[in-house]
Amino acid sequence: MLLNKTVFVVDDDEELCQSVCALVSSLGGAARAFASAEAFLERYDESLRGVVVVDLRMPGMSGLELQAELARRNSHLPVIVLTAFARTPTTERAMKAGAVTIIDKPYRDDELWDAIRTALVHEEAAWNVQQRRQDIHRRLLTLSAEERQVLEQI
Amino acid sequence: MGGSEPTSRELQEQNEELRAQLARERELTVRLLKLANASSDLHGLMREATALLQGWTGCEAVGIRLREGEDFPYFETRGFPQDFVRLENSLCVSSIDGQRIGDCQGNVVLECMCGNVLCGRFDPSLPFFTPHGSFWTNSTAALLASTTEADRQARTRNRCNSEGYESVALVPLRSDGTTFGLLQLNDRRPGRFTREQIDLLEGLAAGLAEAIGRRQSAQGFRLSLQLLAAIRDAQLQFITETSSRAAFGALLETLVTMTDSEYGFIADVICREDGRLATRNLAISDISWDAASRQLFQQWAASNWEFPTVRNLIGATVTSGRLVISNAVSHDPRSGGTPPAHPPLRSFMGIPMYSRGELVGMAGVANRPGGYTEDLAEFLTPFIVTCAGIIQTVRGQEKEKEAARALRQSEEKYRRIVETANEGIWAIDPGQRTTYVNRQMASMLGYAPEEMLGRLMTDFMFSEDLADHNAQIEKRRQGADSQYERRFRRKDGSECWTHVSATGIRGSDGDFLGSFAMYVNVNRLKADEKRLSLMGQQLQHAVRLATLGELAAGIAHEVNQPLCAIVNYAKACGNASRHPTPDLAKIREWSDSIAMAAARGGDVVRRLCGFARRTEVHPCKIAIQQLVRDAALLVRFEAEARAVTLRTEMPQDDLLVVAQPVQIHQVLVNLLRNAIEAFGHCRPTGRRVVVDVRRLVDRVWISVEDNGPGLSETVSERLFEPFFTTKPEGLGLGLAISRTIVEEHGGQVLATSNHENGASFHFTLPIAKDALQDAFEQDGFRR
Repeated sequence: MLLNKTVFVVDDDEELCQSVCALVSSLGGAARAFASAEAFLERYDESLRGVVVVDLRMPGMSGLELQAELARRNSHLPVIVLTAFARTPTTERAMKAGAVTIIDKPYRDDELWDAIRTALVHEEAAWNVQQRRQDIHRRLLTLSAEERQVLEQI
Repeated sequence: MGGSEPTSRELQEQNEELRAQLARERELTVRLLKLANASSDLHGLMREATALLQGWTGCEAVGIRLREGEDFPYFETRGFPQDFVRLENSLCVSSIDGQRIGDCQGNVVLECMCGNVLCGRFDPSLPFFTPHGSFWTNSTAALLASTTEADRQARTRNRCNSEGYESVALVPLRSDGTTFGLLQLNDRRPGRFTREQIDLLEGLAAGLAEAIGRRQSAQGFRLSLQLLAAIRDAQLQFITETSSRAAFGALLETLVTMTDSEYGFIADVICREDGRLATRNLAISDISWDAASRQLFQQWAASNWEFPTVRNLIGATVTSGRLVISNAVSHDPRSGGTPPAHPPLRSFMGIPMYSRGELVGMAGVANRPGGYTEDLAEFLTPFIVTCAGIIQTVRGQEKEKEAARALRQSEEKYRRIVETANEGIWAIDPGQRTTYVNRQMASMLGYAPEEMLGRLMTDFMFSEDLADHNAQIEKRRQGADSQYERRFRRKDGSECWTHVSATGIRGSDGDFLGSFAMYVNVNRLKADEKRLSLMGQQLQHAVRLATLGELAAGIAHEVNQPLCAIVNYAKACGNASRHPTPDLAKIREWSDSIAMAAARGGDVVRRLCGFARRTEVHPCKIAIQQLVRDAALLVRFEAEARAVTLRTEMPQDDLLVVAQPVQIHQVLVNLLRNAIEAFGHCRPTGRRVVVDVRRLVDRVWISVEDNGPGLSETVSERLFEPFFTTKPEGLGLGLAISRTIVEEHGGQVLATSNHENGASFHFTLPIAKDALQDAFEQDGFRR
């Protein structure tokens, strides 16, 4: 499951960043650390497979803002937001929208890892969905004009 | 008989007659001598003498006039009718109301032939005068008919003639050249006297005069003794009773009696405030005899017997300062008249009293029959001197009493001030022994004043303060005053803080006599100060705790981060260790990371605890950069939350200050938070807060600058006021406390507005001393 998947850890707190990477690698996963959301976005492209673990509060772009940006870019990557704070209306809304998983710091036990695993599963599914969609889109593009008309009538 | 030669029988008869006459004359002389030498007094002598003469001469009436004042009234009469004596008694010219009329010089005029004889107004060529100055006639009728007024040497009353006396003989009584009396023999039958008889009488008169004179001397002597006795008594009275009033009363009585006066007074003379002299009666005869005069008396008593000098005889005495005698007051130009209710004043003598050359008083007597003479005044000299002496003594006593009273009052006043003063008062001698301590001071230290007298001031002090105390005493010695605080040991051993205001005491020759100080108990003040200081610290602490509460979010974040890392690393280690082939190197690395994270967490906690701590007892040397870094860490979260970029600009080398780290921390956190929160809604992007630290000569200069909205004028005026805040939930204590802390550290706080926009808050701290030296050397200064 973890093959060719990477956990992208975005946090301005280096120590915490590294500790998450350590956790991932201790379970045989791959992890990459980014000091800021902007730094991650620089390296982002659609081929990236994995999960994004990001701190909510950061100087510059916040975790939620990163998630919004990824959504805008049609990214299928699930985003896990770590926060030290109690839930706010903003975070609640985001949660309900299903866009993101929010975990309070400090988290209990395997909470983070469970979340990552769950996210990876979702990612797989989302990836497959995205691939099929893209495939259909490609095939759609090969249809003649008349075929498209028919399709539209269906 | 015939013109022929007398017969032998006739001669014999004449011889017989002559012998008989001589015998009779001898007998008379002897009897008179005996009389003269008899021990009888004057009256007795006069009686006997007149009887003798009457018997011897066979005259109807014999009288003797003796001098009394200026008059020569009858001292003794025998055979004269009462009326005659009364009418003829006074020889002075008087007016109808009995007032004597003086000549232009104020002297009395003696009338009648008696007057002539007495005054020596006679013409020896005239037959009725003898060379000695006596007058005799055997027929007054014939005399009157044959002579003129001029011959008779001025007015004669001629009453003898009117009365029917034909034979009249007047023989002056002389002694030491002065005529002091007159022997008068009258008979209705003419021809009673012979020339020889008159001669004999003149001779007898001499003896009689001497006898009289002796007795008068004796009388005078007795009078003097009486006077002296009276004086002695009065003096004794004055000494034993120290009541001058009674003494003067007694003296006045003596005076009036001795001078045969009707009434009198003794007064002292004072100089009033308006410069005029006045007399104050010390004793006065009670001359009230009816309602009006009693009222007058009361009036005088009401004015305290003080009479300003006026133009009357009394005034004349006082203003001239000399003896004043007036025996014909009604015609005396010096007289000023008397008040209506005043008894008549016929004659007056005012005697001035001197003591040590100064006029201190006077005595006045009135209405002596016969008037006053200078001799009388002289006779009274010891009396006058005594009175003057007593007046002087009384004055001296009064002055002393007055001075003593004034001194006592002054002492009382000062004693009252000192005793009732709220301040403690303490005086010590040069040896630092207590010479005086007032009640307040003693009770301040828990003693009774008596317990402190004589003891050293240092007995009541703490040994640590002795050095400073001695320095202060030295200042007193040098003549310098000072004010300072001093702690004393109370009886129960507790402290008593006082504020001292001390001065040195110098003697009249400038030597050091000790010191004198006033003390105010400032124990309560000190306790209050301490309490206040304590409360201030408690407040600061409370504010720090409150600050921590407000920074809770940031704090939680600070602590959570390392915790999270620890959890992650621990899990990682756990996972790795369950691997069939654990990567030990990784496990080791991650274990180390756990430790580091824990340490980091510990740091945060420590930092926070440090901030929440109470102030240390003693400040320490610490680098300002460290304090700035810590403060920045604490507020980092807040800054991030508000999108404020926090920057520090500090020199590389540590700048050491002597400070209470917790307090300076508090100041920095306060300023930083203010700066961060200042933005409000303005400048959504580009918010910046910069902490600038630099050295300026001997101080560290710290500035916290923001580019926020800045300070309005009203705000900047009230910035450091306690409880002034622009934030809705703010306490308004942050800046006030910050200023207190900085000033306590020897620095200053300042707020300025920036050029572009925003505000800057600055504060300074003195650089630690040895660090200062290094800094100077760095600058190139050489010691």
